[in-house]
Amino acid sequence: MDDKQLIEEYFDPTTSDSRKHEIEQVILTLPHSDSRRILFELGLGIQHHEAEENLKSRLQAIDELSVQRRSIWFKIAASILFFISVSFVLFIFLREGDSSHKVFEQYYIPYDGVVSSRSEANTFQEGLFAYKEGNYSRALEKLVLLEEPDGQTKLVLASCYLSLERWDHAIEVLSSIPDTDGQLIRDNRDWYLALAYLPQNSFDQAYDLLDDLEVRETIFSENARALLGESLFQEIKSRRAN
Amino acid sequence: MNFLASIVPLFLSSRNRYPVEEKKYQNDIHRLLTDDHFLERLYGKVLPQISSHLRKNSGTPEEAKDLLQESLIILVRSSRLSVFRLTSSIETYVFAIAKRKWLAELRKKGNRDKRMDIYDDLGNDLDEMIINSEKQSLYTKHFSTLTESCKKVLQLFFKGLKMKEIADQLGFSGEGYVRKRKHNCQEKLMEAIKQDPVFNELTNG
Repeated sequence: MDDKQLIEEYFDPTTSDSRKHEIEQVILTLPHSDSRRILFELGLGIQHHEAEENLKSRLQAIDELSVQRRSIWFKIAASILFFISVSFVLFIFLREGDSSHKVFEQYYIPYDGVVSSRSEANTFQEGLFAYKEGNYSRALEKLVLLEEPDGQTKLVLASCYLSLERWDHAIEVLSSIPDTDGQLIRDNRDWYLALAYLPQNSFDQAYDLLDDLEVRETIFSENARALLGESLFQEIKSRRAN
Repeated sequence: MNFLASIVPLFLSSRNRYPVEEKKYQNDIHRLLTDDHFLERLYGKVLPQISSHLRKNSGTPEEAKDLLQESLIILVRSSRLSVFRLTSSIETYVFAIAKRKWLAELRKKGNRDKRMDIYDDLGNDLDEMIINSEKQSLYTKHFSTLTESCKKVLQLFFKGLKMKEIADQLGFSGEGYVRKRKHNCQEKLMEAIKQDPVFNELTNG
């Protein structure tokens, strides 16, 4: 039997596996460039072409599936990362607020320079009494009734607001104290205003006031210096130094 | 004597272990072609290995995917022969083929002196497998340039149909005509293949 017949026999479906094995051994001893070997190998390629194409398309499907899965995992990971980032920013923001609040509490002492004889009004006396008792809500009820409060009364009012953590009201009252009310009143105004800005995280405004108090050598200079040394102001200091 | 009696069964059982494993590996080739879960697991296991290897050797993730497909095709093509025996797991083969194939690619691209860690104990069979697969691709390329009629005759012949059956199926006059047609188509194909410079490179290199 010649080699061409061998090839025909090999591709005959009735040929047994052991016979095929024998034929393979014969054909594979032929040189690569031999036509019979080429024909044999070509035959194998044609015979299994469908299986090969099928494998390629299955691989393609697996690849597409893995891309889809990766995309889903990517979205999940991105969502988790976003959630963590938001939580972190929120945490830092709250912590900063909390920290500035703590600093406020550390430095804040309600104004105690008020002289009761400055006003004869009963309302003022009642308000001042409640203030000294630490009953700031009651004090406010009385003091807001005064028609034209002077600088000292405004400092008491602002202290009530600060004690009750009503920062906006405190800032409003303090900002209404004119420079003409005297040096001491002005220094107190600036000090309490600086403190009022802290829980609001308005550090730039607070910094300006404290810096001014420190430079002017006031009774608050030492406190202002100490407060400016707090970490809250580090970023502003370095920013302004540049 | 007692000592010999006790070690001979051990020796025999260790000798028998290899054929059992080989049978499992052969079965894995069948699963590769038919079982989607098996193929998916293999993909998930080998692709990261190939990607990592290519990352260290100037390749991209996309090239890793192509290389995995090519390596699987090489393995499947070799496994068509009954004389072929898998002596290691499919994963080992595919990764080893991919490494050798990538080294060849780099050398083709001009990195003639490129060396990389392609150690495996699978011998020179892998290089033979790669060359045979490249020849196969070349044959398929030339086969696709034949006329539809030629393609059909050869396809039916290699599917094992008798000349008479081919004549009936294609509406040819008789066995003699089919035989002549097949001969002409074969000759045309052989000529095209042998004139291809890639063929000479593969068979002489």
